[in-house]
Amino acid sequence: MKALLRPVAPFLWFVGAIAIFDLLADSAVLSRRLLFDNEIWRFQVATMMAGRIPTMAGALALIATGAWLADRRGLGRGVMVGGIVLVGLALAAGAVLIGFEAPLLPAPGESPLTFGPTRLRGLISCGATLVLIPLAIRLGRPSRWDTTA
Amino acid sequence: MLIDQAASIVAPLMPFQLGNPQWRFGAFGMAMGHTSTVLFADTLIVVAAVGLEHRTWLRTWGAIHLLMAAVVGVLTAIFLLDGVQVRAQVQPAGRTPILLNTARVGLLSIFVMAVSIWLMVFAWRSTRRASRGAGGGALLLGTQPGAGAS
Repeated sequence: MKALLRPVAPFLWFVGAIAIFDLLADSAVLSRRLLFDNEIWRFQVATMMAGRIPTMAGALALIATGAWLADRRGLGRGVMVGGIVLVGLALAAGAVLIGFEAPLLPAPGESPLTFGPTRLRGLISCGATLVLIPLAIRLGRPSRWDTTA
Repeated sequence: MLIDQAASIVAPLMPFQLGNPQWRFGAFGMAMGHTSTVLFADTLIVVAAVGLEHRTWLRTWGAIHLLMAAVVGVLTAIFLLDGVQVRAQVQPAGRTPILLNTARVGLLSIFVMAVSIWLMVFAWRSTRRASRGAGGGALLLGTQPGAGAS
């Protein structure tokens, strides 16, 4: 099956790269002005960063799968360890530090129907990264990429 | 996934205002925002078709991608022209975001067209070689002896 799917590897790389470009470009457009004094801006950026984690992980997983199919050990391990671990940690930590540092309960005057659940959802995404990272480290071990069956 | 994404794109755009450049600009920009998810679904379909050696479906999917590349190309041209028009109508402070969004969507469209054309060529080549082979049933993707370069 691996040999049969090997020619699809460039397609997986291409799709993964497009998804990453889309995320980065969209994020750059949204946060082109740095307004760290503005709590609303920080909250929006944090929500955006947390929301990017699943798609970014999916895009990197596609690239890693393509690397596995094409026996590109360096690319696969690099994406797993360098990509998912570092990018995942950066997004999760960034989201928490920039905008989710406030308590879970909405502040006075804050709409509980928007800020509370949005923050909770963002924090759940960040928490899921803590599960994803050990898995990526495990999959990035050299022994995982030794066999080329 | 594809049906869900199609519904997510179409529902907020109702009612259609095809004669309005601002609506067209926003609609295409919003639709291209769904690119990543659509491509993930596309990948699943391609992997399944290749894994199951489904020649007819792979060829059909390649043809659909050729059509999609052409449609995206035309819509991108319209989007870029609309972008110029919309940018001229807004306040100076709002021009930079529109320019950045236009560049982002324009580049994304080019990448989508490239990947669609790549897939069409891949599907066409693999199924054409298979039809010339003695067996005629399996895909020849460059992994079997004598299949040639992929």
